[in-house]
Amino acid sequence: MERIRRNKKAVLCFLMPGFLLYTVLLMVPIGGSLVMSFFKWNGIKNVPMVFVGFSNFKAVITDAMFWHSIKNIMWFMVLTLCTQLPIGLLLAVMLSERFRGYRFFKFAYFVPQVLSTTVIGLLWYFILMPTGVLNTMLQGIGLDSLVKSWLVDKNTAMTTIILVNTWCGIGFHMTVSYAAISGIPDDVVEAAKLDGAVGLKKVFHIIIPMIWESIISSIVVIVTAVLKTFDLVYVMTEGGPNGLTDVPSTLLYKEAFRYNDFGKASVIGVYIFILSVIFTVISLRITKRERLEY
Amino acid sequence: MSKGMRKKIAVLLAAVMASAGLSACGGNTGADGGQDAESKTETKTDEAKTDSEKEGSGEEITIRLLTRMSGADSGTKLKEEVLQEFQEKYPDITIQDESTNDSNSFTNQFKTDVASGNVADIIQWPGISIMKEYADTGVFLDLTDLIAETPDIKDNVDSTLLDMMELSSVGTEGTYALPINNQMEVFYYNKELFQKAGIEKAPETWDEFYDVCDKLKESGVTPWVVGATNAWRVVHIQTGLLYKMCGVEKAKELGGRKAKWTDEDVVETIAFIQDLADRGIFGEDYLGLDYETEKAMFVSGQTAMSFDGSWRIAELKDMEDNVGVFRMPYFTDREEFKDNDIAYPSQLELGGHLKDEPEKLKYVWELASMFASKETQQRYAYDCGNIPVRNDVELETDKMSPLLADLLTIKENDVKVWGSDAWAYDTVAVLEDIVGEAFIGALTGMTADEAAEQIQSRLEAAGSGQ
Repeated sequence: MERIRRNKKAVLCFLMPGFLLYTVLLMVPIGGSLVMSFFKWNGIKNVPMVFVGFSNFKAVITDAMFWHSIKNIMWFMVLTLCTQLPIGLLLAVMLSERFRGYRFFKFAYFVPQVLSTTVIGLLWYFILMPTGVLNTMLQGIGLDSLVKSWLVDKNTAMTTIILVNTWCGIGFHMTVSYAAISGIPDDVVEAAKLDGAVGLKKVFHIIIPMIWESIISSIVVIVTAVLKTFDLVYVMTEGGPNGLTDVPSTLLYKEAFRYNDFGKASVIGVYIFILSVIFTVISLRITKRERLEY
Repeated sequence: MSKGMRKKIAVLLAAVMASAGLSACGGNTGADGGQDAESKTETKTDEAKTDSEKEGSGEEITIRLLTRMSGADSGTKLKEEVLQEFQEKYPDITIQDESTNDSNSFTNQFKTDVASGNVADIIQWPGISIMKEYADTGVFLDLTDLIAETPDIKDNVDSTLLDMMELSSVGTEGTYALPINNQMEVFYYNKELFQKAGIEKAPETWDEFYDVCDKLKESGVTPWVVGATNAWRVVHIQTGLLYKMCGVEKAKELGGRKAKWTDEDVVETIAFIQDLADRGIFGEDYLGLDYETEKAMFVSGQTAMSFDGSWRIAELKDMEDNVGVFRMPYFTDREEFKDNDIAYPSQLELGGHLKDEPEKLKYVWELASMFASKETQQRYAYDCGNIPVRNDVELETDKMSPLLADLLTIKENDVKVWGSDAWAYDTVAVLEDIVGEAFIGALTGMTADEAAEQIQSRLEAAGSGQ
């Protein structure tokens, strides 16, 4: 094994297929998107692209809809971070007690992660529609005042989608945290117990510090996943009503496939890329902490 | 590797992960477009060479179709019959049917084809003036000569419909589509619910309509549910109102930029829809309901009326004895527009690339023409409840739906001026979406003026390429 690792040609041979695929399928389209953002093109092959410099960038940055979508995605990120990760962690802590039947719950909480986002979107769309299960249930228990068009009401539409997204993602973060908690040596836990670290003390002073690396990973995953959110929003509201639930990626889709403006769509893609870099750096900075060795 | 370097790489990888999702996202939506798997058929028989191969260069011919006639569409069965008929005549020609009923999937598929220069041979692209962009860039083929050389089409297809497909009014010479069906839009009403509410006759004016709605509400029925989640449901209502308030010419003026969406009379149509909503005519939750739910509510008797196209007739077959139709009411102070009404023609376009493939074009045109043949149009009427696009189709009343018979009577006696979708007269391809979003905005808090302003400013931005 060591001999192979020292052989640079062999290493290159192993790396090359993956690198080529990565370059062709990811880097080239990203580069193409960057180039296209400087052009105006209506998506018709035999119509030449017209170089317009930075005017697409200016058009997007001065568009109120774009800023509205940024506001939505920020709210999406904050609420997801405040719900998905803590709930996932809480479930992982509870499951790590390995009570009777914990495997069933582990499976049950993970199931939404297995379902396709389209299925989840449609499922919740039907639950949340005015004549859907949720409103029927609320009426059934006499809470008629709470009945509303969840995906239309400007006070609830975006938050409802975010909470559905939280529901889908909890299982993933629960699994990551559970695996990390399982990796904490028993003697550390036992020693902490003898020192009186039980309950919340154990969670905040033993578990969280010792699985900090996995929490950072979860935060980065949430930040990047939220910025590319598209399918759930598109299936549930298509960004409507009247752009109320638009996020940058649904706006990108509309610019390209509805408004035939591939230049502006590419600019939105570039902005999303820049945002993802910025937020990843910020989240890594904020969560910076010395790694605990044990 | 240093710690700093490791962190930089981690940041870069995470950022790439995020953008990778985006690039993948665009690709996916365009590539398959959620195509209706059931409709994706490819038929070919390996029988002996027949006319097409003998006459041709010997190369195999494959004809690609991208239409909306798929799945639940009323024309699906008919399309399959036409394709089968064509296939029987030319067994060595391969038909690749990529039709999909879902409008988003259809649009994605079409636009991806256009972007990649791989346009289907037969396309069912909606709208009229918005064909201009594709006509000017050679995506669609000019059918003027083909129509002129086909007496069966030239002499028998309704000339007003053929004229609608002619684009000279928007600065492009030629006819770029062949009409294959024509749809009227009317109110369908539940006779039993009307009777229970004590309504004796269908309304003709808006004042009568309000009386009808009041009586229906008193009887505990939502008068007219609109599945506003699909914005086109509201767009169609506004088009109908526009024609009754300002006449069909107004839509043409809007399309030709001689009028603006912010004009007082146009704003009035938006305010009128808001008023209908405020009166509770659409019910409480219509903004969260979609078209399918709207239809289901009409069938189950939860709502008494539905404003819809004649494409709905086939779906109402099981309850057609309990359903009646009436035209959109008129305004007593604007009687001059009483006989203006909506008709939505549906048409087939041919791919522009066919001009370089004369041999193939012959077969493609023959297949397209079969959809407008006398026989097909007759079947369209009997099986799907569609209004024929030809003048020589004789229909027997006992073989067609009573609803279609009623529509044909209205068409014959009451309607003098036809207009298509209001947005269809504009060359800006995205106007339908712009209008739809603004109307929904008007129903969710914007004023009618703000909605009109939103339409006008976005339209101008789209038109000027900003």
